[in-house]
Amino acid sequence: MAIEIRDQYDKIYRYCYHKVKNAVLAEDLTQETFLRFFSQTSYSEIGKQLPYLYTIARNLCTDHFRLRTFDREKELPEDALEDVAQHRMIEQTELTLVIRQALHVLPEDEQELLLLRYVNELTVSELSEITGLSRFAVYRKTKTALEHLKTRLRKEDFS
Amino acid sequence: MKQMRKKDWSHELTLAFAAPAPKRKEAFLKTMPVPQLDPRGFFFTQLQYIRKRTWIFSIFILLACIGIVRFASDGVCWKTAALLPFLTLITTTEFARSTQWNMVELEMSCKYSLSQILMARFLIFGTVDFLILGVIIGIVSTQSEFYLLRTVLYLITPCTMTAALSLWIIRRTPRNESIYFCAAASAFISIAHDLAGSSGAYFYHPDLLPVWEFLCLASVCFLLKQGKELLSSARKGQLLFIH
Repeated sequence: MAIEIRDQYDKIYRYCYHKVKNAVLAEDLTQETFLRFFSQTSYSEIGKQLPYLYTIARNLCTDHFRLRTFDREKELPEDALEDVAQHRMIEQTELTLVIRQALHVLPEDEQELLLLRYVNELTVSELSEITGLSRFAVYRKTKTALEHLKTRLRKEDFS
Repeated sequence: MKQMRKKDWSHELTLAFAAPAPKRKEAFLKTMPVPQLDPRGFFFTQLQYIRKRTWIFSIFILLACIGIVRFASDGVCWKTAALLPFLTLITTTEFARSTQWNMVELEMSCKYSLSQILMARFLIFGTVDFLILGVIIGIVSTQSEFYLLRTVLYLITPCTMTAALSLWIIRRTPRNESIYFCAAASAFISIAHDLAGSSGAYFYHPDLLPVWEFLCLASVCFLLKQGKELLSSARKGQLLFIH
């Protein structure tokens, strides 16, 4: 169980960071998520309640947006770019930056689906529970999001 | 843009969604209030890990005993006694799982130690077998040619002998073969009771009652000793070294 919590901490943190674009705030929200999760979940249910963990994180991020205005056209923080640039080959970094810019243009819900499905490796069932959509809708939207990303990347190729 | 597989997309999107490393993770994880498991919760968690086929086979044995009582014209007691070692065999297999499937090292490193897990299993199977035996004794005593206490003695003795012998075998035989040795021991005790019963009323004569009492008492003491030594071995990690 200890290994799972560590792993989920990173994934929830990444999710919150994607939402709020601020490392300190993302970590606060991550820790608040876990505190709320454990205050309401018994020991034996911890392994089964992953969608609930994400639902708490999602609600906390939404509550944060209600309190503050959020500029969606804001530049990505420099430190995140630096982290990527320092540790990758130049070609890899260029590709990553291109994908990141293409992602930035996608609607928020499509970005969220791509993050949860491909990066945090949630299953379609878990995504369905978190988003409230049917499994078919999740599958279709994820596929559409990926197609939009590919289309955007092809435009970048020709630009 | 080259064609990318799903694995490639996962990799690229992971890079694209990269976030700065969290700075307060370790400090938080050390102090995070993780809910603890109370003894009752631990007990029910262990109950869930018992294989369903163990319960199913136990019920089959119970039904077979009921069948013997219903349809046997005589010798109900010894015929049932011959079947009961297999009830013990079914439950003993659950204690051999850790060594059989090479899980001892992993279970020793878990939050609840192997000895605690074994204790929980002793409690679970002790309770369940007690209830099943109680039902069987109740049913058999209605048709038994002996009075109640003698019936209890004749039925419990093969169970305790099988259980004691099986626990002794688990700690001393190669891990992948212990279940076969336990099965052989159960078959031996079953056949011995079957032969004892079918050879006439000699072995169930009142004059031999002290022998049965001695056998029952000795097997109970041996069972308790083997159970204690199994728990002790689990605590010390000695179950790791049975090859």
